Amino acid sequence: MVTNLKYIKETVAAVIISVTATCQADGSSTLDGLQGVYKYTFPNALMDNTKYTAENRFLLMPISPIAAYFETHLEWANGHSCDLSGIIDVQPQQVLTYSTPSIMDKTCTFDITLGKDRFTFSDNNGACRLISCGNRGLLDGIEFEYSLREQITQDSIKQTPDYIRAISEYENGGD
Amino acid sequence: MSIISPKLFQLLETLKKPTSENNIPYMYVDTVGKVTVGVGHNLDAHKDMLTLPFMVKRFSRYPVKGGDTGIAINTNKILGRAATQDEIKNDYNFIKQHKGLGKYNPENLSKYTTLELPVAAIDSLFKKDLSIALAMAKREFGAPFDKYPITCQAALIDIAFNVGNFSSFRGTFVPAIKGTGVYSKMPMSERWKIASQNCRRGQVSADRNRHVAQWLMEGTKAVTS
Repeated sequence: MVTNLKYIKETVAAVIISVTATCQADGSSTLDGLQGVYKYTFPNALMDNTKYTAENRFLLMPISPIAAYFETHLEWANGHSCDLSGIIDVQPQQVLTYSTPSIMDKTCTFDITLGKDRFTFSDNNGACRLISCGNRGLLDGIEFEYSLREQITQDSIKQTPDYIRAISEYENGGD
Repeated sequence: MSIISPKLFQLLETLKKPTSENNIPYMYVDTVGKVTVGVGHNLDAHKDMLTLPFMVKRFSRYPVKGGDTGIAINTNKILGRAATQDEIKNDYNFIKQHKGLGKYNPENLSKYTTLELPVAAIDSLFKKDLSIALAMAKREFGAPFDKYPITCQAALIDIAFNVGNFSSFRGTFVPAIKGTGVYSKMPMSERWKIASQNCRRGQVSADRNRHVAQWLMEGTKAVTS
């Protein structure tokens, strides 16, 4: 297991160096200054009216000028939630796109638009919500303002199971 | 499309309990402002409101604070007839405009609507939503899922219905059921027991957590190896 992790890390590092070199003509990334975790809390309740505090969270961590690791956790009514993470590609027009197979013969195409002051999620055909949300949840139209940003350290994120799985998925072309 | 068997559906009807998802035949706004109907069916997410067979149950709405009652039904005033698309939109728009209603128990909100879904339509919608949760459970656990004891299948579908995927259960719960890692040589009955002890969701009623844990424990009796 340790050997595998070491292999993954070394492979990823090699890919990042390669991609960075390819993109150095440009030098800057759309994501400059956006690395961080964006989160806020709000009052929520179960159907039996038990109150609790819910938290919505979005994390973005560039891994090259053309790709970033993201994860989001959204909470909905009655304890329902959405969890989605992966390596997202930087597209022209200030859009990030993550694509992965969904269920029911659909493909999840998750777009994040970088607006003037906020990220906006898009899940046009609902296929991403199918694989990431409880029945009361959704991804489409969710926003996180840039002003919510808190610092993260890349080293701690790179140790998480979600990051390791995302890198593995990216390496294997979404399998 | 994964199909929910009658036996599974019978077990999962427990989700209709008020301590679980509840079962509300009219539109209501939930605690985060989403318009919902039936057994936790989010109309904003599914975008299928106009395809559902709502029927006229009341001709007017009770006024919210400030006096708004929305658009009443003034033509073809026959209770029990199929609602028109405009009437469905009227109920939806009224509920959407008054998100403050989300502070109240949905069981008390019928007076703010004019339309309801028949029992059969709610069950049909619920089965469709459960089939998505079933597909998600199968996606995680693969072909062995079909051989799991039926109560264990119900438990996994309940979790998928609630949280969508099993990403927050990858530490112990998922590997224990799959028999991977440290669980690879453990008998299935022991693994169901471990799953039962590690299935608790933080934001779910104690009753529902207990019920799912019991379902998983029943897996220990259903298998011998």
